[in-house]
Amino acid sequence: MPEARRFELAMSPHVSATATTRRVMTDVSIALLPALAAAVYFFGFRVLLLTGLSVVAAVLAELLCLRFMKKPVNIVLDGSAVVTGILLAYNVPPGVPWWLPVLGSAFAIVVAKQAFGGLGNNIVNPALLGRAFLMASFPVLMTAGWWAPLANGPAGNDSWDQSGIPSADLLEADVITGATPLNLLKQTYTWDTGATEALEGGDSEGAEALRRKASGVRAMLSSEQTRLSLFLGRVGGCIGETSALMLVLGALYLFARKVLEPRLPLFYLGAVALFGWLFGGPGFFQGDPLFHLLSGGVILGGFFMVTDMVTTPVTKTGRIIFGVGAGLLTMVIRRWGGYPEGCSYSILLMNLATPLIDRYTKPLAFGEVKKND
Amino acid sequence: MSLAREFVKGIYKENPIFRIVLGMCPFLAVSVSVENALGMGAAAGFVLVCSNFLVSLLRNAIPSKVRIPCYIVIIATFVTIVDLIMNAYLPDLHRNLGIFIPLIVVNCIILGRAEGFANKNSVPAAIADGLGMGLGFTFAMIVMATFREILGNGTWLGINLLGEAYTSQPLLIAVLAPGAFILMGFILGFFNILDNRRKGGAR
Amino acid sequence: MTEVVKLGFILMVVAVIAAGSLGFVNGFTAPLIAQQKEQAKLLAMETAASTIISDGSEVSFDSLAIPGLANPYSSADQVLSVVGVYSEGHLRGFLFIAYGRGYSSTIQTMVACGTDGIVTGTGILFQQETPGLGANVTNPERLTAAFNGRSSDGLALKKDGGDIDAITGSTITSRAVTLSVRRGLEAMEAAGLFTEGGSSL
Repeated sequence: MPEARRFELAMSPHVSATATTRRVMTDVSIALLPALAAAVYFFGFRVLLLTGLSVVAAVLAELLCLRFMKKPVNIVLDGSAVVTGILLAYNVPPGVPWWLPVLGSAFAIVVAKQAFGGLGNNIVNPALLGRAFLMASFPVLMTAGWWAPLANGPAGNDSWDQSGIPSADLLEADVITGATPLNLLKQTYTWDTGATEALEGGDSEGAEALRRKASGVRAMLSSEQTRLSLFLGRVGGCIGETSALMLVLGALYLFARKVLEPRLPLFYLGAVALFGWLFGGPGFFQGDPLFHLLSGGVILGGFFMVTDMVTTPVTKTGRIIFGVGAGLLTMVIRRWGGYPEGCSYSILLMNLATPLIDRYTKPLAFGEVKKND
Repeated sequence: MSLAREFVKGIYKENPIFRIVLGMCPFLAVSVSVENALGMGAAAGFVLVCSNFLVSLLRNAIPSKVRIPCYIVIIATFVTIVDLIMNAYLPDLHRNLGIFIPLIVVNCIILGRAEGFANKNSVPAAIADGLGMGLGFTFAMIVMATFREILGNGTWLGINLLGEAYTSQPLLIAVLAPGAFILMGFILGFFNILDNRRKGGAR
Repeated sequence: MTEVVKLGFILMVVAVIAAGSLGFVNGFTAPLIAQQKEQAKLLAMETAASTIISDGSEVSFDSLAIPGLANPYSSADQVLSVVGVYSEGHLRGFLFIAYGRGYSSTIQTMVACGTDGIVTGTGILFQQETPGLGANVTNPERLTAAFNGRSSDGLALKKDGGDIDAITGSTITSRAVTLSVRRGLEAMEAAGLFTEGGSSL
């Protein structure tokens, strides 16, 4: 027998990658953990419960679907359901009732993933579709469950407003306490519009007051203090999106393990910064790119959701188009949309455009003649 | 081909919504409440029976070259009659169904039955077919509306089923457009599973 | 050629019969529909007027032509027209319809106010906002009850520097309704319609 083994032949390919779905998903889960630690520190142990429930619901939903469709049940061990569960929990506010992430995870797995044929066949990112489902179904809960950082956390301290600006400063500026920094920014846009309208109506005094208020809040949002808060995660927001520092740490781990391809996140973040500077402020070229990068879900989305291998283009040019398009849409929604944050919807929309992008950027196979269609 | 068979087939075997998948526009748009579903089902059913009757009656008088314009005129006439009568006698329902009453004209079920059945069958068979298809459409509307109204509003035909706690925080997406598409997918899937089981059993 | 004529003739016959039957149905439904509409309008006006005159005395309406009344609503078919509410020969208040562009529809609000410009009651006549969110505007407790007893002063959402609480999750709808009512009142005030205690009209 040993004789025979010596002459064993194998078909090509002879070089194979060590990456398996399970390994990649394990790495992604590990990379997401630092952000959870930050969330526990700032919002309290409840976020652990929410994230845990979300993961359990996602795995259970996957198991049930596999059983129902008579597929091998051990597919669930690939870990993709765990990642979906974590990402969904990271995309809900810390104050939501416990059943909300459970419902969202179940929807993400059943409708967005398994109904399309499971991992690899889903058209859009399951966790993001789960979030969109929750936004459409429970808009009040999804936009009212913000918690002030540290108020409920183990450190216990309530001198910070939810927006990451010391409460005293906000009171001084006569601002109704905002839920998140992006909510505050959205408010400044409405004040701008109000000022323009007041000026047209001949009320120059009122216009001046509104304008002063808007620029005051903008100055606070661009202050060193707010930037530090945003960087550390000391701001109101969804469970896993606030701490840029921890998310970047996780992303660095993924880069080191060669799980992440840098093109997608770099072009996405670059586009957000560019368009944020271009039209994210009161006028053109007056936006604060750093604020737009650090606030909301941009960092979480940029490293962990824009990079979803299944729902993003496979070609290099395609990935650049995807990243820039998602960044542009994010900023358009932030500036002119109905919601303060556009990160998740922009990625969902670009997910839908992925087949088209792939079609037009796929290089020709050797010998193939370009068709004029 | 007995009349009873022509009548029954529309309800399940050839259900216009779940089987033939025609008339999706009013089906998805109006099925937000059971009350609307009943009104829409009755209106579409009435038009269906009347147009089937007339098309079958005139099937030898109308030359085939101009049959489609003639059918459309017949259907449009009945739809306008329903629209006017509903507006006069049931103004509340008319307000709820709004634009979807005039849109019955382009409901594919009605033209589909005129073209596919009534113009080659006798008057009684056409009426039986129209009644069956109308009932099948109404049945499908009610099934969908039941899911959407209970999930999205906590009520059924206006009766509060799930209590105040649910009604204040319902699964809102069920009454929105995306919810209609998602539920439609589940319902079609369910009927396909049912069908597969039956075929498997027969084999 | 003869076939074309024949086909055309058949089509014409079908169309003529259809038109005839439609005319017949329209003949007896048209007055009913008109009556229905008139009744609905009158009912809405009477409900609104009852907030101005609550002693149950006879109410009459009269459209007012007011010189110098600017139209605060942008569109040509959304015109601010003011109806005077009379009781026993005296002008007691005004009714008008406010148009505000909400999230997915133009919301029409019937507004009743006294001759001093204080809102006494409102009712949503038409809206197609998102069910469960903006559509909650039809429940007066959620928004419009807060308008009662106010003049245009401070009639704005708290987010916009006023005193009105918006419906949770439906800022756009709330803002549209509040702003449309306020603009109507302001236009009437600018036309000199309101007086302290009573009107000269």
